Amino acid sequence: MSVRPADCATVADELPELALGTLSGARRAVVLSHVQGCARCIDEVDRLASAADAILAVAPDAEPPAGFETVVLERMGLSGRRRLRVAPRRRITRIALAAGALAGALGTGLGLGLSSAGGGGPAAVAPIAADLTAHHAILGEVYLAAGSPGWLFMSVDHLGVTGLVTCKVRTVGGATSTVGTFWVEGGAGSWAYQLPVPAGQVRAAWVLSGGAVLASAQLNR
Amino acid sequence: MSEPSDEALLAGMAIGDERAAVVFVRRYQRRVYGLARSIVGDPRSAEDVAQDALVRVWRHAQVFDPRRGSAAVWVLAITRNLAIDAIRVRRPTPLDPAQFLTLGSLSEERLPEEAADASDRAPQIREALRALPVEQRRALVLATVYGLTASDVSEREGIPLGTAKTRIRAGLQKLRRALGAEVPLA
Ligand SMILES: [Zn+2]
Repeated sequence: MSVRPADCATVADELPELALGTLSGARRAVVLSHVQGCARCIDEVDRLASAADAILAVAPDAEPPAGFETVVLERMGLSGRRRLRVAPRRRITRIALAAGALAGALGTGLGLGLSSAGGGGPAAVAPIAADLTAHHAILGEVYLAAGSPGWLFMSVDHLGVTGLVTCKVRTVGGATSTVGTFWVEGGAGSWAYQLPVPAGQVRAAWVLSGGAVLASAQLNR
Repeated sequence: MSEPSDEALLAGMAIGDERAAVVFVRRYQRRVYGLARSIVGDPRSAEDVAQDALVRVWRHAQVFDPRRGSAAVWVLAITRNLAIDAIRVRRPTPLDPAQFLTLGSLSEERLPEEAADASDRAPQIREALRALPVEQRRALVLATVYGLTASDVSEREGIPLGTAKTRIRAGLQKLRRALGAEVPLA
């Protein structure tokens, strides 16, 4: 049984139901067969679905019952003491593993199983890692993951401060950019940022507090 | 900006950063529980749903794609989906979209820690919802928040199926136009 190809005008009224996932069998097939080949309608369905989800942003707040947070953290496997101890060596392995997963996830299109043209996942590129040092002491690690955008992962253990620190990078041309800020407690913390520049162009990264460099790392040598 | 963004917290959680998870839970627990509560009604099952949602966020933080929308919407959509599953299993206390609308969409003060979401578009969305005729607003909330099909909405509101469809469609199209190009997309 051949289905007459529909055009944009024919399916326009049914896009909201498609976006909400409530369009029924027969019509769904017809509408989908058009939408899957039409960039304009894919875009419209995406926007309708985003608008529908956006309503959730005005959901009312409510105070959860006492003990809620403790139970959630326990169920996450994060109970009091363990939460504060993360062995640095284990951490970098976990960072390396997660970076691969993250790069993969960022390359895929979600939503209704429709994928717009183009946009393959980032190619697997050898990760770049380096120690963060100051006065020859190793204070933490930096790890770069290529992709669009690339990511910078940073973990520190002996920074000697508690407070907000800034991470900057210098690129091959000598330009510096601020990547982000993160919270360090008792000298330790770890964070991930999207890079404002391609990972392959980063030559150095450093951590600053109040304008003073606390530690730096040389990359891509 | 003294607080990490939601997106930075999720990126941290994606690499197993436990501190990020703690900050995230503290920042989101009231919103997640509030949404669960407004959909399932019963406090006990709302608590289960909210816990499940936050645990799921922690386990699946790697699949969050910031190009496809805000962290807040991602987390709340996970919560909504779990809440809808919960009410499908157990026949719900009567759904009341008015509760969601009056508590949520009129004036809701956010704690400073919850306002860290720089992409908070709640005021804009409230405005757009307020601009809809009340019957469209109800139908739209029933469909998007409570997961009702057009036929469920028609039964619940005592209106013909065609009318339910028209209300949902018109409501969503108007909202989408009101949010316009600002709906974050790749
Ligand atoms: Zn089309």
